[in-house]
Amino acid sequence: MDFFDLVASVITGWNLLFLAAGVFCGIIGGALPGISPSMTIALLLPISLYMPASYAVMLLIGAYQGAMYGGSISAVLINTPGTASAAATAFDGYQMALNGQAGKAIGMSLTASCTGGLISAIILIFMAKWLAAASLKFGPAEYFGVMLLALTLIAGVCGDNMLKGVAAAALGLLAACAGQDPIVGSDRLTFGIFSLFDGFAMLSVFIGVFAMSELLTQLKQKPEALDLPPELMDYKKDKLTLAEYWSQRWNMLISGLIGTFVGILPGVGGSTASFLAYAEAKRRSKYPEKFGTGVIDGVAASEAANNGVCGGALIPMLALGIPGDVVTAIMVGAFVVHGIKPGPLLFSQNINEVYTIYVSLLLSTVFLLLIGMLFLPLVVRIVRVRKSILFPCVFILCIVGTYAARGNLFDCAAMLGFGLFGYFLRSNKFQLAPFIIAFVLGPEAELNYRLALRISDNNYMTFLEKPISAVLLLLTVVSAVFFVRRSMKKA
Amino acid sequence: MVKHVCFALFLCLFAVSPAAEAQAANYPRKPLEIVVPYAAGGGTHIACEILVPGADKFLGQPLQVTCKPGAGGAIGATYVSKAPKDGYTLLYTTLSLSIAPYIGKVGYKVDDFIGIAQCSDVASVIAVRSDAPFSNTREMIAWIKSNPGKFTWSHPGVGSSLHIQGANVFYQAGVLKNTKDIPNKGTAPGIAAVLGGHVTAISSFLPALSENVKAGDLKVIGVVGDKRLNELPKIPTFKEQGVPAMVTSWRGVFVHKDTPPDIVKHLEQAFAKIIASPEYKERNKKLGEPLEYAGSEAFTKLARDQAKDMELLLKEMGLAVN
Repeated sequence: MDFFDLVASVITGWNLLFLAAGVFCGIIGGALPGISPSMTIALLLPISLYMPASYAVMLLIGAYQGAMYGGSISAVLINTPGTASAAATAFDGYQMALNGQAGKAIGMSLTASCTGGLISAIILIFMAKWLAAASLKFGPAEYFGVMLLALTLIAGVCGDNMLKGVAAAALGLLAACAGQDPIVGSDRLTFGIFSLFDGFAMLSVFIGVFAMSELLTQLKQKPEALDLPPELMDYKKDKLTLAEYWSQRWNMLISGLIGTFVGILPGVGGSTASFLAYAEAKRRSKYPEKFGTGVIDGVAASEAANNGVCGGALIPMLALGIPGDVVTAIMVGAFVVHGIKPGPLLFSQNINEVYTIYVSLLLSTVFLLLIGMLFLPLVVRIVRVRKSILFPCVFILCIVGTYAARGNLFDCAAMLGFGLFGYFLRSNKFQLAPFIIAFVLGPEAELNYRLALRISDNNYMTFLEKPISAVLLLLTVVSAVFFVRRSMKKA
Repeated sequence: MVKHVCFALFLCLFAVSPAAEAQAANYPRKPLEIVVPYAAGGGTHIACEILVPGADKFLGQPLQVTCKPGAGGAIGATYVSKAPKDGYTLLYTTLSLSIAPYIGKVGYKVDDFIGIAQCSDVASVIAVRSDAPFSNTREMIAWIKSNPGKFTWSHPGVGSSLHIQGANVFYQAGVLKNTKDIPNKGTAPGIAAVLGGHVTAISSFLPALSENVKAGDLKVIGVVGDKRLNELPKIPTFKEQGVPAMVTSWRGVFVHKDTPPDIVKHLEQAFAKIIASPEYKERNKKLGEPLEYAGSEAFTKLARDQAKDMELLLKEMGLAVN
């Protein structure tokens, strides 16, 4: 069969139905805090085992794409990132919602998700083998270079006060230190609490610092103010325009590429991708000072990047059999049961299945757009609920979501603690972004730094002897100088 | 996992639910909770999930899977060890049950549990890139000895069963001190590191890298345990190659040791029937999980004996802190 016959044979009514069902389930799962994309896939996994292989592929790929977008809905509307990947979306998305632009923010997030997903799908289809081979050149030293470069981008999200930004980032690194030492396995900062053995759960930190601290901040208002019906705004105008979408084309392209690249690296997840893209969008921007106050660029960058991860993570999975993230790891299990064995032989032995995956990935972005559009007007209504009703619901959702992620009550306590901590940061005019980004990237940087040194017998030159790592370190220095000069100019 | 979320909602509504007195005569009167101390969607979770369909036929009540991941399985195991000892809270876990108490601070002792049924026994392999200058155990040991400190091997995390199984191979070969272990975050980054030439070898279960082996990118040096793998009939075990590396990773069902004996008996009989049922065997085969059944007494002994062996090995590895 030639290419077009193959593609046409994949596009059947039932296949499309399951793809749509997958996207729908993904959006719901992603939007519920505590149900991560990986848990959404894990939930669908038992069902998918009873279906023919192509339906299962459609269902799971659709759900992956949908869940990556779904997380932004709750991030924008109630400042509670439904998934870790959507945490960066909350920075500007929630502010947009407060400015009466919830519909615009979610519209941007939806279209950026589709665009990011499409970019990574195209890259997957045309460059999978080459990129997978290139990704193998990245060992611990190179990973450390990527992480270090990413950490300097924190300087870009510090806001006006660099010192406070660095302090918040240092606290983020400190919080990330808690838990088992990644190399020798000894306890660090666990204070004998063995629920801390794995450190703080990412979601409990995100929900605490974003959502819970927001609730605490709102408590400062008079009770009567919370009971007022929200100001009537012109909801008809609260829509994303084509011009606004088009103005983000370069941003979405670059963010989508960042997401795809991060997705290819095994073990680095969607949250790293969206923070990187967010920080990079801010660095590039002509109005970086407005980031965090509700600019559409921030939402577009973060969401294009986390859907870019989908196609990216599938690259090493299809070409090498190495899943690029947790979701694709679960997917491998499902595919194997159906006789699809991802790996170097897939392209020669199972070319039909490869096309099924390609088509499902491309079409899932279309379905995401359609289904997302359908539900957009519905979900945006949440902002019309008066705060005295909305906030208690958000509070319950925070607790339940944190508990559901790992089934551990300690995480709920940690979430409340981080809520107080986030409130402290906000009321003292610290930026939240440096704290969160350092918390996410710190452990990655540490692990790879120590592994690189372990492999090279503590030879620090290893970082300079490897060409890729040397280039990344050079870029790190350049980017650090850039930020220092920019902040000196301002001062 | 939907049940999991429902359970969370339920918890919010009722802080304390009246615990039913366990009486063997009318046991079980409510669904049984089976705790998997690993992340949802992972290998252990899926291996447990295939016990569930139709389990109520044998148990009298349905099984509900709850994932409580963390601390290498210790959080879920501690939860079960502190739950009411009425036979309504079971534990589905792995070799890590015997490892974790020696590595970190945990809230349970291996002796707190008695086995109900062993479900599987999974042997790991050591694999290297196909252009490595050695192809069997003898050559590998010789290479390690002549290149001290150059041999690095990847595993998915400190204290994981693959860490212990891999370390045991090198310990039994007498070269553990000449190797360096590289804890990656999961098996996938480890395979990438070996394929990219950053790390020499990997301790892994075969399914994760079988496609790379078939494609000729990786070669398997040896198999842990005393049986060759069906998928690799030509690759000898380490034991055949003179290195008695026998630590394999089992999976199975446990309850607290203070559970009333007739309830234990009921559970043992029911799980024996589940595991012997053709439906379970079929699902097991699809998953590629090597079925290995042992009853309550034998399984309990296995877990406790292994705990003693672990103590020695972990001390030798410099890991044991307790």
